[in-house]
Amino acid sequence: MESAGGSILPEVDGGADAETLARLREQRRLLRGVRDAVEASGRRLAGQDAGPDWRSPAQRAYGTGLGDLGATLHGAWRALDDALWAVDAAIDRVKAAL
Amino acid sequence: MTGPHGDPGPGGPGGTLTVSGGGIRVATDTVFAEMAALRLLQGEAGHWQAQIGRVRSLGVGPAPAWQPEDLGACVFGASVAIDAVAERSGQLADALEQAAAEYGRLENGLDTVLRGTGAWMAHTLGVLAPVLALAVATPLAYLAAGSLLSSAALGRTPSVVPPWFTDWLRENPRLLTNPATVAMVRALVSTADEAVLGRLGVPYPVAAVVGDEGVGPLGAESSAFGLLVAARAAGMLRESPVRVSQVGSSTGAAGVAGDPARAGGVGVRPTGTGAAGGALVAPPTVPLRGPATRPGTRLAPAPAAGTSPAAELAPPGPPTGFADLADRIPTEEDGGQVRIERYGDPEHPSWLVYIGGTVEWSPTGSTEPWDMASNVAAVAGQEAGSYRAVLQAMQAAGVQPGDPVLPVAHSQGGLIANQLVSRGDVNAVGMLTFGAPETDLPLPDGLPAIAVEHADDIVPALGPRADEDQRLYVRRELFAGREVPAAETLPAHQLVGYRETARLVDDSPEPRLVAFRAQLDTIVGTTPGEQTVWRAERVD
Repeated sequence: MESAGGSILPEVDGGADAETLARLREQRRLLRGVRDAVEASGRRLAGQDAGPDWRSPAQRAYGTGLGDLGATLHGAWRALDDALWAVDAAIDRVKAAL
Repeated sequence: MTGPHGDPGPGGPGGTLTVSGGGIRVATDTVFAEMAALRLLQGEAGHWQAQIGRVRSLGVGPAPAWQPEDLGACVFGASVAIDAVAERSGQLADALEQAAAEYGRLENGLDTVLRGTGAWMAHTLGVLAPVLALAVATPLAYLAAGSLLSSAALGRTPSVVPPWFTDWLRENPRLLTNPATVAMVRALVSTADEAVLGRLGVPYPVAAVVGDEGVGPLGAESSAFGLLVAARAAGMLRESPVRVSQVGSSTGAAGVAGDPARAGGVGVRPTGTGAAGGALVAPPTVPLRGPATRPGTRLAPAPAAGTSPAAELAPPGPPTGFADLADRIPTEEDGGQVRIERYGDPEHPSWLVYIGGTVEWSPTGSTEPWDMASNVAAVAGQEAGSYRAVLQAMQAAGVQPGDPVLPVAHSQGGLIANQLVSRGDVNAVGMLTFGAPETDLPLPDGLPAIAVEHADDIVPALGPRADEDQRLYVRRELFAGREVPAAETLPAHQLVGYRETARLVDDSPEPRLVAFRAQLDTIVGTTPGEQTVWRAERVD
């Protein structure tokens, strides 16, 4: 079986079967759970913005740290979303090969 | 701390809550909430990493073959980012933790300096002053406050504070309602031992060590006891039997506490019958331990002979937070000093016991158990009239040993609540006090106990503090950035101000305050309960 990168289904050995599909679906379930949790945490973090009252250098540094953390969370979310896309694509290919 | 200056609203400096407790950490409630949120995120990141590990174990192919859009590459990227989330959230939480600890250390250091200076001054003063005057310094502060209040409220001539001093304080309301004054009073209260030891000729370094160890002979409790003895010999601060009558009920029943035929009576030793038909209880007979009858059977359906019918009250809805709890603490308008609410089914009840603050500030001639005699007796560790009245009211309401009880109290009521819990006279599942004098009474391990104090309220500073204290102190300067009302005496101590603060506490995301609200939900459930209001009187 061919895939976009040729490496998404390393254990398939050219033979798409129900076991492979089940494994991919489990990966999708796990990734979706983590992505949604990251998204919820990102929203929560955004909601605890320190606000304009935080004026001292230490407080501004803390605010910058929070911003960096938010960006890192967003990066994780994007990577997970991409992973989900890759799994979905793989599932489509396996289904087509059945 | 973080708000704009001059804003009188809840969002301004007057709206900032400072939380201390659980070690040396001191910070605003917002900081504690952020700390908890970051720790939560750190923990979540660990869980996410475990999930990613499971994805990997199901197969993502060999790394050398990965293309940027491949599952393996994406999962690897997510894993790296999640690691960074864990590390950064941990670092930020550590930074907040360190800041809170530094703030706590700073505050402790200032306390130590203030206390050390106060101890030296007290020792020096002790060399010069009569021992007796020093021994009663702390309770005299109560009397002074009481006289000040009574003269302000009733136009009477104060018996302890000279009129010129009263007038001067009235013209300068910021003097008494000031965090600096509160800190000074706290230092004075905690240095009574050094003063007395100084008077006894003990050298300062030794006196300071003895005072630090808390083994001095004349701390707040023993000096209050000394004052009680002296005052009673002079006809003041006298204790008496108390009678408790039900003045309001949502069940239509009414009765008088302490009557064995009505309330089960275990532990009650009536010593006489009052004019109103209620059973009297002499001071030494409490605590009133032992079972009472269950609600519905404990009280006769009709009022006792000579008592007024109880007012019909609506069944109370379950309180949802600090504001509801503060709102239900009885005041004079309620006609009683104690409100008791029952939730849950009759066989498994939970009780909320609301205890009001001092009503009568005069040291003599009162039939009011919530008076100065009870204040000083409570500081002295004695069973005050108000304390006995609360026990009687609880028994008459049907509170059984072992039933879960949450005391909620203001001012003197807070002293009573602390005694009830510390002595084990109730099965406390929590405790909430507003403006209560601080106390070093130990509490059961792990008991959620929250003390709300105004930083400009002098009353909490009148009690001794324990070094190891599990209470969570939530503080707010009530009149920060706004004018202190000149017409009121000790305005920062009034229940109305604490009710305002309770609303801010409800809005606080501080995890321990959130947990207390959640615990309240489990105690009271979701269905309306029953309530009774009790009025106590001294019977001489």
